[in-house]
Amino acid sequence: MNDPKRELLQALEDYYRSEGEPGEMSIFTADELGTTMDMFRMELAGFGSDGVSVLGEFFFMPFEEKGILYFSTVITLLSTVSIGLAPDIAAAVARLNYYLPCGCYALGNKDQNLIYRMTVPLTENRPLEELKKDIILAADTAIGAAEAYEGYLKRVILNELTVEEMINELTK
Amino acid sequence: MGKDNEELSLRQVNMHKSQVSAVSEGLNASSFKLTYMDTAAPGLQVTSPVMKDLGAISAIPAQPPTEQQMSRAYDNAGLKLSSNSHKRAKAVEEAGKRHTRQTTFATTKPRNVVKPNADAFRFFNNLDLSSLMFENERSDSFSPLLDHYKELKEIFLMIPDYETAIRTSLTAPNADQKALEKAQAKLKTLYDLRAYYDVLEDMMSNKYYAFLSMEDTGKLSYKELRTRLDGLYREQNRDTDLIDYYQNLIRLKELGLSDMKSVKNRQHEYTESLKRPPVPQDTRNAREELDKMAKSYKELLSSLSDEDSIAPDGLYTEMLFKTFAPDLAKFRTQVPDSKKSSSVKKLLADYDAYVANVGAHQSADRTQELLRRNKPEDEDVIEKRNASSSGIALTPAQQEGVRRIGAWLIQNGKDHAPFVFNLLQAPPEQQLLVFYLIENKKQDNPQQADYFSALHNYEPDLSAFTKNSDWTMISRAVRASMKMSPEMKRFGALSENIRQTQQRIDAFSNPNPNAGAAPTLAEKKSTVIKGILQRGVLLKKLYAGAGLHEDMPPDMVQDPVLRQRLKDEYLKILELIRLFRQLDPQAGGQMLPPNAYQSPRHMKGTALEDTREEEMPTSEAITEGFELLNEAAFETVSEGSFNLLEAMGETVLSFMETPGYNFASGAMAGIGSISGLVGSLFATYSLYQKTGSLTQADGLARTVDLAGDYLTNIGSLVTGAGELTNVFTNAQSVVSSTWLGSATDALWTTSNIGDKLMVGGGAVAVVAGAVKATSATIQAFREYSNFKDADKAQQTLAAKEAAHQPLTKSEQKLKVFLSHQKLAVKRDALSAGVDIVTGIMTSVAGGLTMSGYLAPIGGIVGLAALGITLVHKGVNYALKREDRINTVDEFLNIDNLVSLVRNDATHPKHAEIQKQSDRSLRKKIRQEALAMLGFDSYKECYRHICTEIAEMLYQKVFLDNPRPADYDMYYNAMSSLGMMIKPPSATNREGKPSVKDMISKMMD
Repeated sequence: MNDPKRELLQALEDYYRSEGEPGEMSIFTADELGTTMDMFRMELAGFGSDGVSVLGEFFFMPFEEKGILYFSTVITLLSTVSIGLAPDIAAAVARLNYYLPCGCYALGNKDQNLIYRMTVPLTENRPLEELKKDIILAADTAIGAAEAYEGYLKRVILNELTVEEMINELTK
Repeated sequence: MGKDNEELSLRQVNMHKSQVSAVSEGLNASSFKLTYMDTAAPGLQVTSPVMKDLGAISAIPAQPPTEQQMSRAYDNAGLKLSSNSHKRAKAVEEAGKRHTRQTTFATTKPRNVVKPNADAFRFFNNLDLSSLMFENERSDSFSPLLDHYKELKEIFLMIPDYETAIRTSLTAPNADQKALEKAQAKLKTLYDLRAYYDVLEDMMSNKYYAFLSMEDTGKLSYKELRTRLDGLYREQNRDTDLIDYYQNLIRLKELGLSDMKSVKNRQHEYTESLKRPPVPQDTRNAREELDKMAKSYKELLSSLSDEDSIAPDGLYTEMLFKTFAPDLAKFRTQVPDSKKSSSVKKLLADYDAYVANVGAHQSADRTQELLRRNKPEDEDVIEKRNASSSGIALTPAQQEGVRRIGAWLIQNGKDHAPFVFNLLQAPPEQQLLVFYLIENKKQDNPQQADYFSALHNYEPDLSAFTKNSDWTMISRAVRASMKMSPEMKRFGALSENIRQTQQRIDAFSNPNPNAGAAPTLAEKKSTVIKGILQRGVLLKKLYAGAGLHEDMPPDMVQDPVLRQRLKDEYLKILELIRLFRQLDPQAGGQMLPPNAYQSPRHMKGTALEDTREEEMPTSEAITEGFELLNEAAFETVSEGSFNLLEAMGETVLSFMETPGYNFASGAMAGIGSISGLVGSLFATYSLYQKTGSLTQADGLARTVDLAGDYLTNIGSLVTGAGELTNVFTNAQSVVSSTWLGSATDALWTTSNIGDKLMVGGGAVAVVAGAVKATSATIQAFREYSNFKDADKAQQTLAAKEAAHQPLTKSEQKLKVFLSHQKLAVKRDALSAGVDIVTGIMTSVAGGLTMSGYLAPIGGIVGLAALGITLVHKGVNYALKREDRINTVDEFLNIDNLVSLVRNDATHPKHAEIQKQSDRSLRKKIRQEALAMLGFDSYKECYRHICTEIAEMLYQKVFLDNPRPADYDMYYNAMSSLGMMIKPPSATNREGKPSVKDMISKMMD
């Protein structure tokens, strides 16, 4: 059961390596992580407007629905959100998500983590090569989307922009 | 003045000569403790930073502050007075109390405190210094001044005796070293305590003491204080009281004393620092280290033997061997042969073979040769140099630290080989600087003077380095160091010159019998002037590098070693001036009128003209000029040259009388006045040039006229707050108004990777805890831009090209920028006739950001033509990557490079290269080209390109005066970014969008 998934994750790693992505990357088995699923982790170097390094995690959701794979991308933007700011960030995130074309931002771990996540369903019963392409596309889209809008959230968090101003800019 | 006095002052000059070698005296200034004890000559007081006259009652207003005054004071200080009326009333009441206290203190404090007649040595040895804080009885920091003024003053007056006693005891035959170490630590703590109370006393005589509450001002961070201080210095009419107040606040922060505990800690720190530091033990496991090195070697060999490799085999293995050599030597003996793995044995065998045949089979890095010769115009490449520049030397500890980090980079840089091996070929001081920037998280915000801190106050620490770094940061640090390296070289050369001049000056009183004829008086004077000039230039450079305004006292710098150095240079200049007076037989002769030498800006309280002194020559010009002036010209002291010296001498002497520069008390004023001296010395010279006659006048005139960036404030690279903006290019200074570190800055500064990617054993171990230091406060808001702007700009350029007019460099950059826009337009065209998501900007044909399709979504783009389904415009990472790589390739002119390499018959790997696909070769060459430029990845290079363009736009739209001919073209290009454009004004020194904002917008 794990095989196609493992191969797909491997294809993802091969793809990013061959593209010369500068960050560190590696596939972690479920055992190593203590989770139910394997996970491909990659350091997204030079991410966003400031070129920070953020963690990208790519994996399959542990659903047992037959024939359908749920490929998920989670990019952790911040893991140290200060408690006092959580309500503001939550408001900004909620409003921004409304306009996001795919995936969404979210707060987790007691409002400490700010992430971007996207899940896409894929039919398993297809040639492996097509599945690989879809996985790669999904991953690239997630990274691209997360990067394109993180600037807004950052400015809201740094108090340079109110949520309303942010919406104004988005919808101009 | 008789001969005796001359001897005396010369001896004083000589006493400053440290016992350490001349080179390291200037450069590897020993740790704080040594310079302190060895260079403070008796008779020359190492004074606390402030030496105000105690009786300055006039500074305090007669009446207690009114609410209005307080409110205004708070505004001036950039603080906010509470709007709550109840709280305000309370604040005014408190201010009144402070005012009363101030006036009482000023009128009642004892004026003539005498030094008590006690055994200072015994007294201090028995004194618990922390008691001087009177912590248990005081109401706040200031009350001990009022309650115990006489007592404190008497104690502090005894400090010099204590110091003398310690010095004498140190040389005594049976000196108790331990006890004397304790005593020295106590002495240093005492000096800190004295400075602390001096600062407090000075604050109490300042009207702002009453106006502002220490509770509020104490909350400001050093950064905030320094930024505000800089703003205050740049004002038209300076508020000198507020400046004094702020400077004292900074001093308090730097002193770091507040209560008994802090005093105890300080004393403890000093005691520890005086002890001989323990030789650091090497705790590494020999076997593990050998295995690690063997593994790296294996990986390197494997990648070199890869058929795709175009890397220089012999060179890389040689570099690996050299870096690993000391560890190999150390560890191979610690592990018995039976326990060595086969790969370790192979490594050792190959290494031994290499040693036996050094230099035999090093293959040239032919690829790099070709690439470097064809590098992009005006771009810097990493300099390949083994030896340090003249005048710079790393300590053995620094060298070893650099080597260890180099070894780590080899071991962990398997996928970054070209970048690593390029870096390891850079001069050692540059590598040191790179590691310094990373360990101190300064790679995004370097200050020019960081090279000084790196050289004098830093030893690389591998564990600190690995904790903090990722490859992006290393790349940034490398780029930053490349920009700072010319300055470092100049510093080295200048230091070397200073050292030589000082040698000659020292020889005045200790002439070398074999040195030939003694120098004439004129020669001596000329040498002294030379010394003054050289040190003046150095001081100016360090000041500018530290971001200090020239009128600021040197103790505003945070780095203690740099601070000490500034003070030392300052004092040495004063010594030279005194010496000159001794040499001058016509002391007190004709003075030049006061305003002949004072440049407007170092007068306190007057308008600050931001006059860059365009006529200022380079330091090279100065020293060159003096080379010519020195030896040959003074062989025959012609009438003309003697007159020149007289003129310069008068300038020096009259400098001593300038107001605003309290020579007698040695108060640490800013160096603005010394700048004035340096400038006027040269002005005198230039003036004389036109009227007098000198041998070799022509040559000198030429050197004087050299346009220089030496003494013109390195303002193109340093803002007032010391931030090194425009690190990556030399665009004109951009004042950054966003340097303030707010608390929330911390949010976006830590990466979240932490140790999530660390797995023990097999899988990739990632550098943990990469921290990024961002300084950008993004102001860009995405006002959707008008595509017409980019179009217009494009048309203008096209017209120019059609008319076969050559494009200026700026225009070329603009062209790249716009062609990028065009790329994005093409994609946009595919999206015509598309469903638009509601609510998002719909004007697809409207403006484009630099990265075009990363603008907020205009719709779903069907890109069947590209073979990809369901790609949203702006969110496809692969497309963005492709686009950016294309931009980088254009920048590198990669097509040209690929064909050069392919067609180079002399390339050692020529045969293999022919077999490679274009794509693969292109990728490799791109990596090599990026590495030589100091970029670890295309992303960093892309960022650099964006930076160049942003700076060019900023320069053309906001700064060029008069406006460039094609101003509209640049303006349109800038507005195509979609950001609101506001030129700099009197109230807002920075134009919008700022350079940083533009870069962020392009990078998003």
